[in-house]
Amino acid sequence: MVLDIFLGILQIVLFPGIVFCIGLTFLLEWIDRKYYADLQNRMGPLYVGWRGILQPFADFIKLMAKEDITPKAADRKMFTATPLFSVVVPLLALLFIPIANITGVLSFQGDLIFILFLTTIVAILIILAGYSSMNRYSSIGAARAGLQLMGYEIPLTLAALTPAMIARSLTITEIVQYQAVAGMSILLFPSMIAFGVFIITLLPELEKIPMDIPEAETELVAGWQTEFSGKKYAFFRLSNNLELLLGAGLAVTLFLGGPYGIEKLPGLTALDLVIQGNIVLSTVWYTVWFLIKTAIVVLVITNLRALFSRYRIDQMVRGAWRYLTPLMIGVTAITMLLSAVAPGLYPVV
Amino acid sequence: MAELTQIPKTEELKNEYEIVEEIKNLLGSDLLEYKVPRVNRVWITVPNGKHYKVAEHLYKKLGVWFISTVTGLDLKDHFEVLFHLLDMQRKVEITIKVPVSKDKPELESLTDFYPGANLYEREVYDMFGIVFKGHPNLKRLLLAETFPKGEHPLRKDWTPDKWDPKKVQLIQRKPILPEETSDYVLQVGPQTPTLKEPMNFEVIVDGEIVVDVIPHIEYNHRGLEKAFEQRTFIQGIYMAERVCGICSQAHTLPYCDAVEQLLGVQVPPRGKYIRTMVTEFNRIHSHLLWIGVACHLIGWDTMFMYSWRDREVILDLTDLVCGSRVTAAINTIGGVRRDITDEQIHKIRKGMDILEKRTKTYKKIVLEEDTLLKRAVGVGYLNPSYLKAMSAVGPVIRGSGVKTDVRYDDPHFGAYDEIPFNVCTSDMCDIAGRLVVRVDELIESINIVRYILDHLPSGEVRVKVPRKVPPGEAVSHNEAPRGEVFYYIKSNGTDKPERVKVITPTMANLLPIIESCKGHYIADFVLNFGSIDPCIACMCRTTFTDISKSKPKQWIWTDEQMRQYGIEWYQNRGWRR
Repeated sequence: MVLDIFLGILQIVLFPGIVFCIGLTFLLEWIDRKYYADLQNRMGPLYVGWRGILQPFADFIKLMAKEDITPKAADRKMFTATPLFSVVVPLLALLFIPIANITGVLSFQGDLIFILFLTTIVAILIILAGYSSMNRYSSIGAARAGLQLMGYEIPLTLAALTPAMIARSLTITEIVQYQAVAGMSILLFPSMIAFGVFIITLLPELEKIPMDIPEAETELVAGWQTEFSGKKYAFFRLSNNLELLLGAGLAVTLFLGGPYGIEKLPGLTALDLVIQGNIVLSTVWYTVWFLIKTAIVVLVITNLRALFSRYRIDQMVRGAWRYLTPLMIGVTAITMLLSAVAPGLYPVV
Repeated sequence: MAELTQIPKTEELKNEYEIVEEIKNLLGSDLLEYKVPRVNRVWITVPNGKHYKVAEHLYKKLGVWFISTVTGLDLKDHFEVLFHLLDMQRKVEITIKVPVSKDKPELESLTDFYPGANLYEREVYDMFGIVFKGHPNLKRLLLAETFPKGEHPLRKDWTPDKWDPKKVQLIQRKPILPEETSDYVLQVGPQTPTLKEPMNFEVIVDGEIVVDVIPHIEYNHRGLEKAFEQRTFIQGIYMAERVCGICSQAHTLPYCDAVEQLLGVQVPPRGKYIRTMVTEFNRIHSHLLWIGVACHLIGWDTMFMYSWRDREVILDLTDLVCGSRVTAAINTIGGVRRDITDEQIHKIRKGMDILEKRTKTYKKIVLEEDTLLKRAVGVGYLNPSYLKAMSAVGPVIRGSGVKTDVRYDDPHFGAYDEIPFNVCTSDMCDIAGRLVVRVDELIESINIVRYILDHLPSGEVRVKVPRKVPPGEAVSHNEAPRGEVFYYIKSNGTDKPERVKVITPTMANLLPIIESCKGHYIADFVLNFGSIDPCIACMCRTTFTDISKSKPKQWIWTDEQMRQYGIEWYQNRGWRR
């Protein structure tokens, strides 16, 4: 009993919980920056560690040591609380993602809805942060963040629910296990469209370049982040990285088969049994596969970031309502229809 | 000058004398003086008050719609105001001189016919205290609002010590909006990621829509025109070069041309061709820079990195020909400082091949990339007739389909009268139009450079000129990458100029571009101002001193060695490229 509690705390704090996730975000940021630089014919981080691998961590430490200024006009409590909450909320959501095991550290019936709810909370925290700093750039940035949320929220949720409908479950663990039997849901018919929409809607959620409208550097200085400096800014950066991990992890979990590797392919049953027999081996095996898949999703996002120029807010919202939302409603309808008409298409596990 | 004025009424000067005849008929004995010093130039002097009538006639009857600038002059006993108009049909630069008495420095504003003279007249008011009657918004332009009243620094009796810092009252800018409104004032500049140069815009926004823009450009007044008067003509070249780092060649060319007109010397053909070639280098480098900055402003940093990488090719060629990467410093009065060798010609040809290939790729990307077109097409619409009224210049007016180019309208400042080239225009009238014009001009410039290399005349590159310049006055202009650069020089027989007037294209394009921002989104505001470029000069050669030894050792690297060092440095860290 005591050992169980101790192990549980260890899981939450160390692996695959808070410390591991934060370390992983720095790694993903490095991959993102390095690949972005390579696409742009630059070098990227170079000095700290092996090929600059520790640069994101060094940036974080440096920002933590910088002067932290709170504007006189700002709403002090909100201004201090939002950076903290924006780190805590994605960390909480990450505990539900299966990283080192086929279930997350935390799990309950219908936890997918809870995670989607948490992603919305992060967006609302951004709006609050922008308004609480009482700056004109921040206010405009926050208003843009709110408008964006209106645009991408519905397609994002519907896209995340498509594999859930195929698996006939709202529990992340069950969706992952379903994919272990029926194959990655990206390979199933309407779900591959949902994957595309999911990646596109991740861009405004993460404020990556074609949709980095709320913080548009050349227009609004730094948008809603303008007044944040020092520790608070470091926390927002960390929060954004955690969101990147969360978004990529969610994409992996829902569409790319979660932490399962090649062992579920037909003919490799022996390998599967070996892995499941050894707890250390299975932890390493699943973590590595999760890492590889997450990195692939991050590279896709980076590629999109390098390819396009920024949309205007009206173009983004119009595009989301004109194309993405109807498309996702259609995909949802088709999924429901197919699972009713042709039950053999999505086998019941 | 003296011998040039004696050019008889030939067929060559038909257009010039036609204009003089027109004004003679209009004014009769009121035409105080006129002269036609060379082709494309007409100077007329009219008494104060008659210039309005002359301008009306020129505008309504002769169709002269372009005003280059307005110059103020302090001639000790009286002021003189010069209106420089360019007749594009007849290819004549007309200068209307108006003497203004010092007791009552007033004259009628020409903004009724030339709304584009708005900022120029404000500048003359700012510097000389000459009041333009009927001007819509006569207040200080280049100097800060805090500058004491009645102090006008370009008057000859004004010295810096007359300016008492204690007299400066710190005026708080009045809030421009009433209390009870939902509109915001968004401060853009003087320090902001958008503008790399100090300039402030008060952007009044209603939500995301720009309602009005109020420009303040008084942050960067360096007193260059005053400084010109205290330096010799040779030193003036280097001053002119530093008016703008990016357009350095574009500034020295009209400066030298104007001084050569005063001296009455002709540049040898080879010198003229080399000047023209470096001017085109300048244009290529500026346009590549602009494409990068414009893409950066809409968040497309990849394109920014690529176009700036390719800009290195042209910077290296400038370095090869002139000895410096950004400030070319190749012009001198009477020609150019250096000749080019066959080996250099070979390298330039190779560089042009690379650039042509890349530029064509960019053109394809620019015309096909959907996110870029979404931000550029239909945004910042500028009506051609409005631009003509405002006397806009450069790619801005050509992007609206008006075919004007100083290289074409008055080609004698360089070798452009002998070189075939197209004036690139676009009838899209928006940001995309300006983008297309600039990309087309890149290809056109590459072709001009190739033509120059094919037809380079042999012979001297410069003539020796005396240090002292005979008294007189001359104007010259050049098509800089961003538009017309205009120089007026008055000499008084010494080795220092009496007055140098510079006008740069941004001044002409400022008001139209502000107009085009109104009613659009904040996001479009920055791209509209995209043509305001930052200048980053780099060192190309380094001197090293090793002080660890008892005898300090010095050595110099060429840029090849330095580049090699850079490549090796990265390779040692396990990096290719």
